[in-house]
Amino acid sequence: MSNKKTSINIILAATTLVTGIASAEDIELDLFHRWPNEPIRSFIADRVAEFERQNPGITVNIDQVLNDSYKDKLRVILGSSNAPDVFFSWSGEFGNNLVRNGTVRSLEGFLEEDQQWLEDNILLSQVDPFEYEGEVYGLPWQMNGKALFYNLDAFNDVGLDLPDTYQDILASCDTFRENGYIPVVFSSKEHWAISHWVGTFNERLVSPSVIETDYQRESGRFTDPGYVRALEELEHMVTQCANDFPNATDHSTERSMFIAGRAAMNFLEYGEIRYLEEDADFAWDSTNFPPFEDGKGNQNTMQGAPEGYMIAEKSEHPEAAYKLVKFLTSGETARQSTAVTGFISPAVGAVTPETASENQVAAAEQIAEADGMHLWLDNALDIRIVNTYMNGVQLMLDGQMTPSEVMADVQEAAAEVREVASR
Amino acid sequence: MNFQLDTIKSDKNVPRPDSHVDDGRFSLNGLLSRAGYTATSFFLVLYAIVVIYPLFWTIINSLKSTQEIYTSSWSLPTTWEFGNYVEAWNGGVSSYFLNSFIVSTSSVLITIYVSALCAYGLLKYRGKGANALLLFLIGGLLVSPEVSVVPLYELMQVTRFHDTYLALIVPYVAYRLPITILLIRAYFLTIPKDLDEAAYIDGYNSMQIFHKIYLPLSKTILITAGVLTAYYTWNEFLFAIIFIDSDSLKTIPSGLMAFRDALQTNWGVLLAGLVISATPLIVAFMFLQRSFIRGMVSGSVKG
Amino acid sequence: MNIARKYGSLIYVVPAALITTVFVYYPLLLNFIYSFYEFSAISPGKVFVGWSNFKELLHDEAALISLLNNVKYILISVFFQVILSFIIAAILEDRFFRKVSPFLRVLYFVPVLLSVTIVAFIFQFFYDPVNGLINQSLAAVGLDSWRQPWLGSSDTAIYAVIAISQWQSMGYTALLFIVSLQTIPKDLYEASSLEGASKVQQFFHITVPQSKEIILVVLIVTVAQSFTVFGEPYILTGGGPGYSSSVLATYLYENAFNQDRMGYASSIAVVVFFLTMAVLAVQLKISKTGERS
Repeated sequence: MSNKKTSINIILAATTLVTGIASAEDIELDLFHRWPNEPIRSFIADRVAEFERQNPGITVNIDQVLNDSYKDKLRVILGSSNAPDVFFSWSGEFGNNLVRNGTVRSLEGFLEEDQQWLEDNILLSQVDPFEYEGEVYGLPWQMNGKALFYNLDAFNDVGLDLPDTYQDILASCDTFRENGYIPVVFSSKEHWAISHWVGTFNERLVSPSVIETDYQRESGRFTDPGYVRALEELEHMVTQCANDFPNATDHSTERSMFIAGRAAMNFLEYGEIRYLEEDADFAWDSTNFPPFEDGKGNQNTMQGAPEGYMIAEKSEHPEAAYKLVKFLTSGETARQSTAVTGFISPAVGAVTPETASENQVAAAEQIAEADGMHLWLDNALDIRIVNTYMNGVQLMLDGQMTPSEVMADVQEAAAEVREVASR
Repeated sequence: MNFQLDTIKSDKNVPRPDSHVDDGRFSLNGLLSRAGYTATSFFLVLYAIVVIYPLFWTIINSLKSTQEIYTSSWSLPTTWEFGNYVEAWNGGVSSYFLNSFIVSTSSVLITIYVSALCAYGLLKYRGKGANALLLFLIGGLLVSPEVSVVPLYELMQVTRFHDTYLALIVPYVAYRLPITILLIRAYFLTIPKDLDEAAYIDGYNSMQIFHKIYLPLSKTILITAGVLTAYYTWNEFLFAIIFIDSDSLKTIPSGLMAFRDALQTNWGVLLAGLVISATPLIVAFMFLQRSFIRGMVSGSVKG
Repeated sequence: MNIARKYGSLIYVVPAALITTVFVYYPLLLNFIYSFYEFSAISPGKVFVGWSNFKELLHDEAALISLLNNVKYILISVFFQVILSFIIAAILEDRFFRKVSPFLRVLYFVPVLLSVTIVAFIFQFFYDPVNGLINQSLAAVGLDSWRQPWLGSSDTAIYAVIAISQWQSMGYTALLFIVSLQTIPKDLYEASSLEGASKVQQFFHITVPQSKEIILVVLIVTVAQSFTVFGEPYILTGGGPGYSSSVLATYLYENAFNQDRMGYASSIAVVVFFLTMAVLAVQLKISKTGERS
C-alpha cells in the first residue's frame, strides 16, 4: 500500500516538474466507507488512486468497516477529533441524525455553482432523499432496493407459477418443502436483515399516512393494529416457509444457501445481483415484493434508498473533499461501478445495456416502477426503537414473545424517543 | 494476594509417595484403584480430545476450499489449498500481526522499565507516606479496565491518541503497571543492601546503580513480568476494537473481526488467518514454557 | 541525610504515578461524574440528569438479564475452572500419571494461548445450526431431535457462550493448581499411605485443605473475570437473540457505542465497578486471614 503510494507520489512529483504546474499545498483526506469486502474495496481504492493522479497534492487515506459495525463506528468518530473528511452514508433518518447533530457539511454552496454538472450526472430524484430542511447534505452513488428473487429452476421443478401475491407465496411453501427445497430462505441474526422484512410488511399492511407519522421521531406511536399484523404475518411466514434456525443464521449464509440452489425464494438487495451472476447456476428472476391481498398499505413500495457520500463539518479541506465526492458520484465512476461492483448507479446513463448486465437493467427498471422508495427500516427509525423492535422480533421468532408484546415494547421505546426529540 | 511462587519443580527430582499399585501383591484396594485409574485415564484422554480436536479441525480445514468445508468438513482435504495461507497473509493478517508485535513489544518494554524504575524509587524512598504511595500505585489493581471505557475514550480523543498505536500502548501500560510494580518490588526487596553501598563507594550514582546492578540482577522477574504483559496485550480485545478505527492499525484480536467481514464466507482463508495468528504465541510458549508458567503463577492474582 | 537524598528517589516514581493518575484514576473519577449526565459521542453537550440513569437502570429489564447472565457465568465457571480444574490438577500430580503429566498440562494449556477472537470463530463453525459439527454429529448418531440453533436460541445462547470460556480457561486454572500442589510436603501423603488411606481420602484430607489458599485465589479471579467478560458474547452473539445472551460489559458497550447513550453506559460501569470491588474486598479480607493462620 505505502509502496504504491510512494511510487504514485514520485510520478506526481515528476509530472509537476515537467508540466511546471506548482502543486497546491499538500492535502490529506480521510475517506471512510462500509465495504471491506471485495471487489468493492478494490474498486474504491482504484478510483481513489485515479483521483489522486488527477489531483496532485491531494492524498486520500481510506478506511472501511462492515454494515452494523460501520454505523456504530461512524456515529462515534464523527464526534471525535479525527472525523473523516468524506464518509459513506445512507439517506434518510441515518443521515438526518448526523445532520441534526451538526456533523455534516451542507453541500448547497458547492451545488449552486455546479447545478449543470449535477443535472448532467445524477438522477435528481435520487438526490432528494439527501435533503434535510431544504438543504442537500449528500450525493448518491448507489441506488438500492430489496426484491424477492426466484430460483426459476425450482419453480419449474415443482411445477408452480411465480406468486402474484404474498398469499400465493404461503400457499406454495408445502409443495417446495415436499420437494426438498427451502421455500423462502431467511435469516434473523443481524438486525438490519430483519428490518428489511419488517419494513416491507409494515408498508404493505399499514396505511402510508400512519407510517409517515410513526416514522418521525417527534410523533411515533406505533399503535396501528397493522404493525402487529405485520409481525404476525412474518412469524407465520417464517414458520411456514423458512429454514430452521433463522436466529442462528446470518445474511451471507442465507444468500449462500440460495446460491447453492437449496431455496426457491430469497429476499435480496439489488446490490447482491453480482453474487448471483457469479455463482448461481440456475435461472433466476427478481420482483418487487408481492402485494398482500387485503393490505391497508401501499402494495407497490420498495425498501431501499439511495446511499452516497457526505462531507464532515469538521473537515479542514471541504473543497478537496467535495472534489472527491464529485469524483466518486460522477457518471464516469458510475459507468465503471456498475460492471465491477454490481451496484445500480443513480448516475445519468450509467445503467444501460452497454454498461450493465440485463439483470441490472431490469433492477433499475423495477426501482423506477416502484411507488416510491422507503428507507431501510433500520435507518428510518431512531436507533433506540430499532434495537427494541429487532430484539423483539428475534425473541418472537424464538417463541419467547408475541407480536403484540413486541409492539408494546416498541410503543414504549417510541415514547422515550418522542420525549428526547421534544427536548 | 500473598500467594506467590516462582518455582515449578521438575517431576523427576520429586520423591513421590507410592500408591498401592506397584507393591506386587493383589489387593481389593489395588483392584479398585486400577479401575479408578482406567476411568481417570479415559477422562483425561477425553479432555485432551476436546481440547485438541477443534485445533486439529481448524488446521485441516484451513487447507480446504470453502465448498469442501461445507460438504466434507470431517475428512482430509482432497486438494491441499496452501494458497489459503498466502491469501490470508496478504489479505491483512500480516499487518495485524505486525501491529500486534509493535504494540506488544512497546507495551512490554515501557511497562517493565517504568515499573522497575518505580519499584526502585519506592525501595529507596524513606520519607513520609511511603506506604500510602505504594498503595496508590498498586491500587489500580482493583480497577478493571472495562469500567473506564467511556472516559478513556474521551481521553483518547483529547490527547489525540485515538487511532494511533499510543491509544493501545498507553492504556495497556497503565493497567499493567500495578501488578508489575508489585512483582518487581517484591524481588528488589531480596537484593542485599551491601551491593548498593559498595557501588556507591565505587562512585556510581543512584541511576547507575539501578541500571548496572538492580536491572541485571532481576532478569528473571523482569522476564516473567514481561511475559505476563505480552500475554495480556496480545489478546486484549475491548480497547482494541474501540480505540482503533483504521484497518491498517488493528491488532490481531480486532483485526480478525475485520478480516472475517472482508472475506464474507471465504472460510478456508479465514481459518488459515486464525492459524497464522495463533501460531506465534503457541511456538513461543513451547520455548518459554518454564518462565511463562512461572509468570502465570506469580501473576495469578490478576492474570 | 539531606532533603535531596531523602526525597530525590521520588523522581523514579514520577512516571508510573503520572500514568496511573491520568489513565487509571482520572477516568475512574470521570466515569462516576458522567453517570449523572446524559450525553452522546456526536454532540459535545452534556445534560445533568441527577440519579435518573440509576433509576432507569433499576427498572431496566435488559440490564437485569445481563446481570443474571453474569451470575450464570460465575456459577458455571466456578464449577469448571475451580472445582473440575482442581480435580484435574490433582490427577495430573498423581504418581500414576507422572509420565504423561508434563505433556498433558502443556496440551491443556494451549487454548489459553489463543486470542478470544480465534476461539470464538472456531466455535462459531462448530455451533452452526446446519453445517456445524455439533449438529452434524448429533444427526450422525441419530439424535436429530437434540439439534439446536446453539447461538440462535434464547434458551441455549448464553450457555453456548459460557461453554467456550470454560474450554479456553480450564487449562489456565489447572496449571495454577498444579504449581501449588507441588508445594505440598510429600511426607503428608507418605504417612497417610502407610495408614492405608485411599487416593480419594487423601484428596479430601490432604490435598484440599493444603490448597485452601490457592483455591480461594482462583475462585476470586474467576468470579471477577465473570463479571467483566466481554469478548466471547460480543463476538459470538452480540448479546442476542434479543438480550438473551447479553452481559453487563456488552450491554455497556451497546449503550455507549451503538445507542450512543454515554451517560447511561457510565452508570452501568459504576455498577460493574462496585461488583468487582466487592469481590476484591472479599479477596483482600481472605488473604489477610490467610496470613494469620
